[in-house]
Amino acid sequence: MKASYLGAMGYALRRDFPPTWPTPPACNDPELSVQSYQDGIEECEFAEEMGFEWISFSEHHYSGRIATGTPSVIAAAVAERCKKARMAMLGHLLPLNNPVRIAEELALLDNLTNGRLVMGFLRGTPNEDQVYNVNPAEGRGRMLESMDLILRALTEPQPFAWEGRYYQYRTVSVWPRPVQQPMPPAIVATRSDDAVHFAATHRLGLGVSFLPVEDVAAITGKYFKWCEEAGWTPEPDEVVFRGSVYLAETDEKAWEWFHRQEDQGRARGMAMRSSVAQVIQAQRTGQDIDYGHVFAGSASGDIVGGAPGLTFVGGPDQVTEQIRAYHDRCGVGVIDLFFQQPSLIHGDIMNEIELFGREVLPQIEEF
Amino acid sequence: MAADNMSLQYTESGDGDAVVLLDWTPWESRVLADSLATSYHVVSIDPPWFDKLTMSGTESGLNWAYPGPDDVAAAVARVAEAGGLPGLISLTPGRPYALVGVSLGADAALRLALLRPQSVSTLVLVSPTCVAPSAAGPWHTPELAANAMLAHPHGFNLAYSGAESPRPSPERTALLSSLAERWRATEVDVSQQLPELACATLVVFGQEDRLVSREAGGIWKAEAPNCSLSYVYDAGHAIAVDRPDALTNVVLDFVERRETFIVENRPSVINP
Repeated sequence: MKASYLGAMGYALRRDFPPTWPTPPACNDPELSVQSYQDGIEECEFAEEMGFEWISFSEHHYSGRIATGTPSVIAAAVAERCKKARMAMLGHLLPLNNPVRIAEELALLDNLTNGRLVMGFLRGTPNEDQVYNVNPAEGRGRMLESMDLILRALTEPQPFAWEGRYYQYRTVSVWPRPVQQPMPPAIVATRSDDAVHFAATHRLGLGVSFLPVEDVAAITGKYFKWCEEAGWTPEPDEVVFRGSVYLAETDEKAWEWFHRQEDQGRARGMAMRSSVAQVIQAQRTGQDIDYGHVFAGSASGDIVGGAPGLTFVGGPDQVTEQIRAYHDRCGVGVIDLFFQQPSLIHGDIMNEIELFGREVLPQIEEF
Repeated sequence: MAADNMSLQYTESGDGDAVVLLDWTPWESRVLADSLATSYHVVSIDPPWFDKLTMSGTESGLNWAYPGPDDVAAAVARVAEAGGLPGLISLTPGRPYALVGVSLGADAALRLALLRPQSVSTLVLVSPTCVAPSAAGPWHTPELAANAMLAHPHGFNLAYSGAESPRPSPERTALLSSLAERWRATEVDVSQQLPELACATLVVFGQEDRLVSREAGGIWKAEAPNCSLSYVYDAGHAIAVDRPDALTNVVLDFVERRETFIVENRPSVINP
């Protein structure tokens, strides 16, 4: 089993953010922001040094918690410092973006890293539909079409036009070609059946995030079944799970920290105004909306949905066993870890990376 | 109309410049004919082996039941060039026409364009199978044809239309599948002739077309000098069944603007 470090590039004072999304730009001090990115890049470098084989990046917007709205930019910067690890784009939020532009960025990253790119495709969280004005009802369809178009754009040797449901291009001719032929490994990050089926039938990897092990097992079970029906077996690197982690020297220290976070209300989810969240969810699921009866909620945000919480908490052996469950019961081959909990500072993260590399990684590499 | 010992059944619709349409799939689709007829004089020619086929004799050496693609192309060309036939008012001698072929009709249309380059102003080939065909098939029953030619024959799809796809015609399916097998067994590799294709050409494939290999589009684009290549998302071989609006959109745009169809001409102003 391999470990991946999520380069979240969180803003140093993210613990002081208001609980709502989006985080106002006024919360950002450019000087501190510059230092935060330098710290984040240093964490990636150190993670590689400690044995993490992938460094991952994820597109998220309008907040300093995961401050990588343009993940290709930060991946290119990190790739100049990390010369061995795979750069895993886990990934771009497809419904929000121009798929041809994403294909161009991925191909360029594969060139810059000389073939160390892993591609990842996501739909995005409900709030992020609002970033570039995407109708939540269309997110799923846009994601599925984007995947097809990106894969075609990366592999088609001649210029072509595309007549899509959501996208129409009359000239697509992506340059440069990826170094990895026919294309870099690709992960579809999803929980929904249609995207899991797409991954299986197109011989792509699967990524699942922040779910309990039994839920992940149900998803990967379908995936493996559909892969078998499609006549292939995924490699271990093609099943990825992303979870949050807090690792301490002992179980007691780790859980003491965890309970302190809960007491301080730091385990909250992303707050949105209730009315907005209701409408997004209704549109995503195709329900009729009676705007006159939508509960407005608080302007400062309501907690909508559960926080993903921490997947892995404990000392080295306890975290190792927690990760083992995802390997043994779900077939996960790459564990992608989010270390930057809001209350932690750069020094804390570096200590955790060192401890993980020294105590946990040697154990999970044996899985 | 009659040519080369072959009787061809056709229908006409619309006014304007001439478009000859060979829409030959197992479905009885009028999607392309009706759309083109909003702007053009469409002469839609049925497959010659269909039940309307008659032959006046066998002295030409043709197999009466299974004329080859070159035979069909020659027959259509002679009719078009002759002009003055009842109903073919726009196909006057010497006046080029747009030619649109679908599936096996695209294979015949390609032969026609190669045979009579001066007659064809614009060529649109939808789902041609004559270059880099795959091993898909057989599809001699409507069920097999649907399985082979639709993007989602078993229903794992987005169900955008909310309606079941129409089923192929049994008679048309049986006859076209026999003809396809015959053509496949006897035809020469036409890809060698693609560099001779002089007119503005559009080749359209469904993104999920399983009757050709994935390399087919690239071969067309690389070999035919004036070729544009288009993929229709979420469509199989039978694009007119899977995504009719997307197909008619690109075909009509190309017939009207040829290679300049790549230039965006729709306004993007939101509030002037």
